[in-house]
Amino acid sequence: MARSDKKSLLRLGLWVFLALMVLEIIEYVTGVTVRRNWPILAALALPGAGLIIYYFMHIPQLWRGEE
Amino acid sequence: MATATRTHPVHSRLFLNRLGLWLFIASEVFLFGALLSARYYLQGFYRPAELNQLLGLAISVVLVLSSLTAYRAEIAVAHGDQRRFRRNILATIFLGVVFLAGVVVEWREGFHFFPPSTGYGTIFFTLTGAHAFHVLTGLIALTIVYFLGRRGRFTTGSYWGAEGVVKYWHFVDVAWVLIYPTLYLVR
Repeated sequence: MARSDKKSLLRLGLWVFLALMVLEIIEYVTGVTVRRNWPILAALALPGAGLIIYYFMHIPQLWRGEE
Repeated sequence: MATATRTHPVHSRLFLNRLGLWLFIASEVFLFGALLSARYYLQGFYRPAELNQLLGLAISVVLVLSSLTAYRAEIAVAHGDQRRFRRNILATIFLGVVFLAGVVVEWREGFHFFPPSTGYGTIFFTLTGAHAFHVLTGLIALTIVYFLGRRGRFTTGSYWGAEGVVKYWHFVDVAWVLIYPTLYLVR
């Protein structure tokens, strides 16, 4: 992980969490109200997983070679 | 004897640790991918009306929140903030236990409404069971990291043990982000 500003990293985590919450709530509403909803759910769940992999799991470390 | 010319790049120990963990995670993706695809192959988009939707949403929120605390723990240890690191690891463990308690409740309801002998029950208990096992192993690893942290094993420049376990915990969350709509919401 880059030794960038701790506060900005903590704030970034909070924004990612809020985005994930928004996605979860929309998924839930879609799940209980919309029929044949799999395309919508896929369009919501996959970006959610991507956010976690990119920001929380820091996958760019693999090609950026951060220490 | 002539000295051989080095032709391969030299990677740091940390890079190799990370690569190894990502390869392990990739192998786990195949496991969960097979289980998720089995749901659609065997049951299509069917879902029982008795599914506890609010409980499913609640434990999803709890697990995503635990990813935030795990992330904050990693940021803290990377910057030498040991107290914040331990506090957030403890919070992650607590939220993981709450998630498992929620799974126990949904299993009790599931045994009543769609037992494992039914088609949907087979999928439901296999997927949630495999995932809960991963949560349990993640909790054990987080507990070890917590006690190692208390002994001061992780420093600003050396915290791979904590980073690796936190990454694994995030993977458990990623798996649930896909399992939740697959079991509870799709129709």
